[in-house]
Amino acid sequence: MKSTAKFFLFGFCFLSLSTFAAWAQLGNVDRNATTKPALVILGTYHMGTPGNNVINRKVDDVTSPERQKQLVELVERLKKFKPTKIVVEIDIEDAAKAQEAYDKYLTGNYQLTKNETNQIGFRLAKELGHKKIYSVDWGEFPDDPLYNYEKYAAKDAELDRFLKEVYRELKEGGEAENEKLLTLPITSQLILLNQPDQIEKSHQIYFDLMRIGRGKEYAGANYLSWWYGRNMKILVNIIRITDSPSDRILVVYGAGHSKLLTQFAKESGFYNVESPLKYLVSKK
Amino acid sequence: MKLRGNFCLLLFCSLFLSTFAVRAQLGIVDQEAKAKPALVILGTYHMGTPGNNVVNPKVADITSPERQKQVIELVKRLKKFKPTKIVLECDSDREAKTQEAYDKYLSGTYQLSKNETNQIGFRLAKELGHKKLYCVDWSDFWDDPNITYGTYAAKDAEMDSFLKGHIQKLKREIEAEYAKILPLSITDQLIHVNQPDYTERDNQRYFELLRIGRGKEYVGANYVSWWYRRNLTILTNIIRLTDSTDDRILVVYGVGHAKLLNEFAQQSGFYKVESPLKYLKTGK
Repeated sequence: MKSTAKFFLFGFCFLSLSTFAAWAQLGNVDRNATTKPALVILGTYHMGTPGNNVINRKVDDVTSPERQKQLVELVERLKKFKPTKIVVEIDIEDAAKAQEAYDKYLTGNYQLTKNETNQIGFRLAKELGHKKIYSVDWGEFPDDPLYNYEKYAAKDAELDRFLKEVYRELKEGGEAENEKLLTLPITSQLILLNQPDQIEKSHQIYFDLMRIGRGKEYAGANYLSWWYGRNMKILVNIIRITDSPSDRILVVYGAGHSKLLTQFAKESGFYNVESPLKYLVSKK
Repeated sequence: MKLRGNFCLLLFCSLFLSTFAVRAQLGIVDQEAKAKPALVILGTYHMGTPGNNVVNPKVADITSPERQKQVIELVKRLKKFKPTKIVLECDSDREAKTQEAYDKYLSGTYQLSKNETNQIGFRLAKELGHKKLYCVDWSDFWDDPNITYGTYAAKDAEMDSFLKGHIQKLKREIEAEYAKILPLSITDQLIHVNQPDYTERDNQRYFELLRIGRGKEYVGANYVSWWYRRNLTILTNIIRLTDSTDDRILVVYGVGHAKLLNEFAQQSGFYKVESPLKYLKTGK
């Protein structure tokens, strides 16, 4: 009898270990569960020196005393969500490096960069006593001319004219909006950036790019698929770090990702997805 | 003066032609337009011999007198949408061949196949006096180990048991659903599968596949991205054939596509997207 009991106990441990191992990559998510991990996607502008986007908005110095006060205020509000994990837009390949910086920050030997990964992510994680910061970004672009809609359009007068017009409108609209944003405190900026209609509108632009191509060449659709794929891989990385149904995950990401990350997370059925507005507009 | 007049006219013609050429690939769609082309995505099950899907449920013989009566009744309802173009799930590369079959059907020398492209598409287009049918499918799939999630999972015990469990469950769910709808009339079957919660659930299943992969290997995400790419490319083909704001486009497609085609079309802002339920549920 005793030996059977031992055997079972051993069997149980082994099973539980193997389940844990599976979670490490498959993630502990279940679309049929009654209790699901909570997820908030907070869209932000790039507070440092942005250079990766088609339109790079002017930003003022986030290290000024006034902006710093506003950031502290923002972090107070985000704490209300009681995050158990903070996820930031840093390449997953650089996760160890980001963790090293965060470790130094915890011991007071690190000066925050102007980037929102530091200004919001590190600051909030420290306030919450987190030991770990999660980097989930993925952005490899295929070395295939049929994914590069800009180069494709440049060789075709009509498509080139079309794309330039799309960019011109985008730039005009973006600049006007940016002037307005700059005058506001950081929380108010984020409240605007995270409005559903704003998120919807900035996603809609991609569908104009999708139209670039001819015949069997779907350069725009390929590009857009890559963008969808990028956000899917980001979600996969978030799923992989989800290890408990009581996780409360705050994702701090460029606002351009808000639409797809939120949509995929909702459609997956894996999370209880909450709007960041709930916390941004809350009183302190 | 006369010469100048001619010149202007010529210039106008040439501009006009070039605009038309742009439309042929870019489509005439416009996010800002007040009047937008109408679009209905009708999800169907595969009425012929379905064999392309992971799970292939049994379907009743569509050529039986009773089912034929039901198809005619369905076509009557769809006519209420007053489609100007019928779009089908046939490979865009084989459009000429499909058109040839349709031409023969118009002249009474073609026997409809059991496929819904024929049973619904050809039949409805003829009733409406359409001369042309549209094939928009795209499904280039290549045997790339970065995408073939089944092959990948087969080499990894945990992933394999996860995938097998998922497919088993999928099979059970889908077979139960088809058993439920089998006794219904075709219109009622389509009412059932075009419910938003049905198409939502159908799409949700892809997110389980997303989880297959380890480390830098995002095999599941690559596969799901390919699935999104397929549907984005299909929408691109629909945009290309849209040549008037008065267009009323009926898309007859496998119900597995219904969620994404609807979602993309709505988010693009290019169409006035209507639910097929509106027409399926109307009286004769």
